[in-house]
Amino acid sequence: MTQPHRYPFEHLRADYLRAGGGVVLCLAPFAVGMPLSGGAWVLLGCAALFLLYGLRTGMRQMTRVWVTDDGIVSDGPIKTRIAWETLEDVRLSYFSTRRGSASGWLQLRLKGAGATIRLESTLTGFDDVVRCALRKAGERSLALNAATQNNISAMGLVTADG
Amino acid sequence: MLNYLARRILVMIVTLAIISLMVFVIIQLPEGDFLTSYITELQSQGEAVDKQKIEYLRAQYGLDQPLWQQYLTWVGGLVQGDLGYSFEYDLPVTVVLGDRLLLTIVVNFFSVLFIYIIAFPIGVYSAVRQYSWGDYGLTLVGFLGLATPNFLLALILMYLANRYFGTSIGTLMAPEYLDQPMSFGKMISILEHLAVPVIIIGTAGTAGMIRRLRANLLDELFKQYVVTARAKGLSEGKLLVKYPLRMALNPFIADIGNLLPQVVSGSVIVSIVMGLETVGPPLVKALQSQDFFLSGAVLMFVALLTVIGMFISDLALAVLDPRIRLQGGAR
Repeated sequence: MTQPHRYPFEHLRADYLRAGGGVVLCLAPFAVGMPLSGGAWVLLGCAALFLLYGLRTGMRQMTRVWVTDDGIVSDGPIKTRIAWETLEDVRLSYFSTRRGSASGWLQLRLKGAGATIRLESTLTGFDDVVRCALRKAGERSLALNAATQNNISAMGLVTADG
Repeated sequence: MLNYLARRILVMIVTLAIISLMVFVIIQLPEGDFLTSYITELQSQGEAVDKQKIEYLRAQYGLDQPLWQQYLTWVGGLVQGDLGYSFEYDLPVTVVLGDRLLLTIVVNFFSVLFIYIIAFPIGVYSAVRQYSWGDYGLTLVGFLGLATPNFLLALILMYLANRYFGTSIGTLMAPEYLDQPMSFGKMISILEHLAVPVIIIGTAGTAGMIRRLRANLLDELFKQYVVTARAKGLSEGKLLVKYPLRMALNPFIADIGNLLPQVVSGSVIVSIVMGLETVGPPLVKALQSQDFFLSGAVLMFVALLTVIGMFISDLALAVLDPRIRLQGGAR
């Protein structure tokens, strides 16, 4: 049995801090007596978003990703499985909060049989997962979009179409 | 996307906090405050100064407090929607600004829209028909717009609008709607009066946009995938829209954020020249008289517009443009 891939706590800690910081910043004005008027709803919306972000981080901490010859399983509070033979789409996108910055993160999105698995580059062995997904995409002759191909090249991996 | 959204909003909040601190420091840099300027003005006119009243006002508006405390009080008020009190107008800032905030958003929104509507087709045409008479002609017009000072254009267009279309000079609405609550008639009047300021404010930004889109598209048009697609028999129109234009659009979208502060600062002078009911004229007056609450509120409003503009353009890019990672770096 292979070792599962997981999100290490040292990366998640920063996400927890962001979520906590966001909630505190958005709710602090209410602590000093801000009334529930127009702008307050925007802050409450942002607070809800940060809460959701914290929740998602918690779910990530519990998530384990298994990659086998048959498929990929994201096991945690929400269990998702995609069999390689049903793989329909592979996308590798890059996100950064600073324009032109190289300090962002990659997201691998796999789709198949109505299920979607999204994995981020903080996952242990992310490159191996990408490599495996690309191999399977190549076997199934799936077309990769230009951004995915560029991101694969930037990772130093060879694209499925060579 | 949730990860991106949460991080981006957090960056936005921190950015606004830093901007608020910078605005506060910059406004406080000149010696004294509104009350000291007021005293000097009274003394220069030979009028008596009621020291007790001055001390009372100083205490009432917290001007006797240490700077950090003044900053926290101001920021706390801003977050709660309390913009403070304008010394210059002797009214709450919310009353002074009133509809001006909304009108500023309307003017700037239409200016940005104007820039995009004009720049997009011209930029595409200039790139596709590079070095043609049309390209040279439109480039010349664009540069003329860039080189002509806004206020000069404002004066000329105001004259032409009045002379040939009978539109009242200056202001953003017919005189009978001034200080009236918003109504359908007022809205129509605003839209009627919007054309001239929008053209004036937008013209300066159009040339830059045209050049940027032209350059981006030219970069794409000579790439190998375009040659390949053409060799495979794809029609020119389809080829242009499907690939190079889409790639060239990304910097165009990314520019929304950069465009907003340019448009807002450009519109201040135009607003003064044309007597528009935007935040520009009170801002200049407030900065001259060291009316801290009013100038601080306007500057923070402009900063908020800019930060939101950046946020919208980043979101649009993240959704429309599948991001490409630069070499190395991502964790």
